[in-house]
Amino acid sequence: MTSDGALMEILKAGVEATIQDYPGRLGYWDLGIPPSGPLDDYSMRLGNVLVGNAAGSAAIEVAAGLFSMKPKADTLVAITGANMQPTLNGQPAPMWESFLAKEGDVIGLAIAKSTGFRAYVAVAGGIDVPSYLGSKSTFAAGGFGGFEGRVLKPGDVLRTGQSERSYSKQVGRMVKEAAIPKFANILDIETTVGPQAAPDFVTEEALQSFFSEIHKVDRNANRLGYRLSPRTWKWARTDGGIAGKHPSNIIDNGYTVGSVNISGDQPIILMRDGPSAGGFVCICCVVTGSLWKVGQAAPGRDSLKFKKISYQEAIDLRRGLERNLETGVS
Amino acid sequence: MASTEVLAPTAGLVVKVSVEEGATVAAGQSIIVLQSMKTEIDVVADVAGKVSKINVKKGDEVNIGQTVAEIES
Repeated sequence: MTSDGALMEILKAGVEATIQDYPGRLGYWDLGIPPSGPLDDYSMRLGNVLVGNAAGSAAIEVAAGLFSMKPKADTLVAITGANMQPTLNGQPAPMWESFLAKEGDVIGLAIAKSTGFRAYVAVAGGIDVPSYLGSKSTFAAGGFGGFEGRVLKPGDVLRTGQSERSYSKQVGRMVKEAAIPKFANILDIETTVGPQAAPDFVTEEALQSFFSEIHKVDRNANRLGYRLSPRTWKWARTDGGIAGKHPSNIIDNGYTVGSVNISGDQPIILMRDGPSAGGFVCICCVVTGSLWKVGQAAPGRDSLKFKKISYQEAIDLRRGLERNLETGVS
Repeated sequence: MASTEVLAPTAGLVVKVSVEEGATVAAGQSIIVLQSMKTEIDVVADVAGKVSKINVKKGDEVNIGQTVAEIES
């Protein structure tokens, strides 16, 4: 059997469930429109591969949990990302493996009790919502994209797209153990240093301190920015010159997703729904191949430790994930 | 009679306790409101019943998975 635009009803929408695709809404950064997309792009893409979709197809990102949905027709599903004790009609459902949910079955996610914070529900055919500015990702702060530009609510009915492949070939596909991401309560995050680091903006000593410390993720960390605990800084300058009174001030420039932005004393990792430009220093940038780990840090519970890596190591890290997407699924 | 725990789905700050111990609640009714991820999150009853215990008060910080209340049904 194949998917032919099956309907799914959202029963419980939890804390924050949104439709996301990858690589998201690209090409509008100069207008302040962020890419959006999954904060753990690696887990989401693995889920899509499991159900036979293109890796970047639209899927459901569930932050924190308390989510359930009911397919109105037989649907091939895969659950990846954080372990929220997934269930199928109240019985344990597999993770990192595609399975068939029949019409009327209830798929449920509880909460991320130990590690991780976001789970992904991928369905064969992807989620069929309109593409806005080239992407199906939700930018809830801007009120556009995904399902009606907002988080999902109970009673919402989603439609799956057309699936080109037959389910019998896709049921029971699994992610190989070596390709399954490992989450932790203290995560090592790879970064490249700069653009505003030592010795021009912070002292060498301050930079080394930053990299040696463990940084708690603030409970208010979200899709726009992952706030870390404020800390004292040894600034190289006494002020921001013509950019302002505080030494973290710079003349406004473009930011990148993953930048560790220092606003006054507070480090904030700019995430996929975050600002495209601003006037505060960025001392390092989380590399593309490591951003998924930040997305799996639970606000108010988990911590991050940053590592300095080279440009080539950053490329190799990203390529490693892409290799796993090609060969890491049975 | 079964006892159901109401768990906090995220770490957060309790900004409101919506019901009192002893109150009868419907499924889906707000038990507490948490501030987390720069938004307010309604933590609701999964089942209808009587609130037998409320473990938190306004201003408390809670962790993921913490039991904030118990419902008897």
